[in-house]
Amino acid sequence: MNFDDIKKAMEDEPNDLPVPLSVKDIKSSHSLMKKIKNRLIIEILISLLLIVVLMINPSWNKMHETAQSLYYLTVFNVVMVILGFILFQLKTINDFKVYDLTSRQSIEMFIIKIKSVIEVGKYFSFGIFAALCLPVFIIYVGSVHVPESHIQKYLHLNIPWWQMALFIAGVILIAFLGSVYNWKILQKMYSKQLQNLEKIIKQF
Amino acid sequence: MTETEFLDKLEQHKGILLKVSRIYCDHPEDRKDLFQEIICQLWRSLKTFQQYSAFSTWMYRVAINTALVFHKHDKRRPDKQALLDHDGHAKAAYDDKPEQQLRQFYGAVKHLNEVEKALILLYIEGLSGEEIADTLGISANNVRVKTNRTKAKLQNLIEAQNNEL
Repeated sequence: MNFDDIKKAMEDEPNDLPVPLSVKDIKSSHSLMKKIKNRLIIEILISLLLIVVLMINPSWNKMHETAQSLYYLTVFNVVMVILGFILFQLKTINDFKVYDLTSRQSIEMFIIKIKSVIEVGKYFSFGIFAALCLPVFIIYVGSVHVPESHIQKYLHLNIPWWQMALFIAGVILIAFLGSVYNWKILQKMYSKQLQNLEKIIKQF
Repeated sequence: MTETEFLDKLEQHKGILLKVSRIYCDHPEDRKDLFQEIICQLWRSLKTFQQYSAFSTWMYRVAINTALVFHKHDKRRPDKQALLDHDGHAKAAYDDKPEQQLRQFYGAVKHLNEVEKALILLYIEGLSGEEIADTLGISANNVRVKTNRTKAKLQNLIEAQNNEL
């Protein structure tokens, strides 16, 4: 095989793909990174929707006054955790510009980024689910149609130690199950891309 | 670099984009998409282009990295007619005519893995072992070994195609 002839024949091939007249005319939709970016954007939108739902929840879930103030206090903590996660996702989206590294470095970087999205997502979701348990509990207790004095002991956590222990164990269990479930979803979302990249890295 | 300067540079080195797209995508639609995707990534990565390296070297790097992670349309493939045409050409008797050699070459290249495709493209383009090593991120020694293996593999693939006739 004569590679010089092949090079010449490649150069003589008909040139049927024009360079666009403006960069704005270029579509980018088939990049693996673009797909991951789109999925991260969807995750961010879902997180923002969750924040909105949490903030306006008392407008349709009428609660006692004490319950409502406690609800906003706990929701504030949840919103802060969610915002932390959103900031991480935005940073990840912004850091995908690694096409000018060597091929090996750039593939390794993509793998690290996808794995970090999955891992961080798993631990953040544990935090979010755990933190969400409190406002959900407050909504449940605070909206029961009984005089406020009857629910004070629950809102002030003036309950026996075993009930408290059960509550904490329940929170940990829910957070654990939630994070495992979220981790499975993330793995399903990104596993194909990850496998493709790992297959390429083995070729080096 | 302004957008106009960038597009002028692209026009000058368009051959690189065409070759990378051709080596990585068999289907014309995939090729068009990859061509656009590479331009898009080049524009986005332009800030990181350091003037002391040649524009073409930087272009090869971004183009190959984009091609390596390019998502081909699975639904489009296999386009039976396109593949039949292509295989038909590839399996034609070995001829010294450059066009014939090229068809056989493309027929064999699609059986190479993604890194081997990059390697053979850079080799054909006449980049030195060090330049290929620098683009792909492997040692010059590894480049030498892999290039020889890939060339042998291509030769075997072409011979196998000829023997099938």
